[in-house]
Amino acid sequence: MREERPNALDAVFGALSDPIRRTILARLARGECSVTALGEPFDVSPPAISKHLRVLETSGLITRRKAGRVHYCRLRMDALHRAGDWIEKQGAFWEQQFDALAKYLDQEQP
Amino acid sequence: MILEPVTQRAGVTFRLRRRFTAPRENVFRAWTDPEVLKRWWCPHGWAPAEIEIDLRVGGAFRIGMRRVENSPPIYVYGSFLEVQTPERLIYTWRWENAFEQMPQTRVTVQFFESGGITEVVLIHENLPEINVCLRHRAGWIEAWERIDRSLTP
Repeated sequence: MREERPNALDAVFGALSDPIRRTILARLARGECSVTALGEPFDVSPPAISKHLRVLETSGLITRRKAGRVHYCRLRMDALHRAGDWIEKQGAFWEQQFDALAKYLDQEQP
Repeated sequence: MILEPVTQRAGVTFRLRRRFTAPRENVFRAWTDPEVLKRWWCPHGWAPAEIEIDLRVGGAFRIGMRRVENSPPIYVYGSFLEVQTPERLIYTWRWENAFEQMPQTRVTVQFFESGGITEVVLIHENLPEINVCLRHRAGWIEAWERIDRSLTP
């Protein structure tokens, strides 16, 4: 297992742990979106949405830009890809372990 | 071997299935006895560090490995939620000294024996859901296809 930017990944996984934030990311996967429109589907207050967006921004999953009075958010694919690579490694890890166990058992069996 | 990332509401689940030519007791022991575990557990390029396993419900385990002599070890640790020797284990799973603060995940291992062949079914679940965020993006679909290819024999 490679120890690649573990802290950055922690923040990404933390950000992904919340269903509202995952839904926001799913919306942003379709393209840039204003903060107001992002909050519309949810029955939560604008400050609560702002807080979720800050978590996503801190983790590097989204960036924000301002055009006049409107704030827009955009998804950053690179951060998601790093997290996906980690999941991939976890699966590959188990496959390696099974290979190693088979090798051990083949050698040790009478 | 079957290994498929399955999308669920709780997160991603990996399932693996593998047959070993050995009695179930031996395979179970290889999976749970520190003395045996240290002989096969570490991936290539890694050496075993401390391994502690308290094999009972609520008991803790911690399996260490290091890349080279004197380098700081990394650990997998957790606790047993279910212990049925030699049939079934359920335990929590986290990394220490690497991938820290990664969400806690859960591993279920079942051992089935038939005619001297032991089939091990491993389920690693609650891995963070990522693909749902990206199912509309071609880049991510390609990534998942790449994962499928790398994990499917």
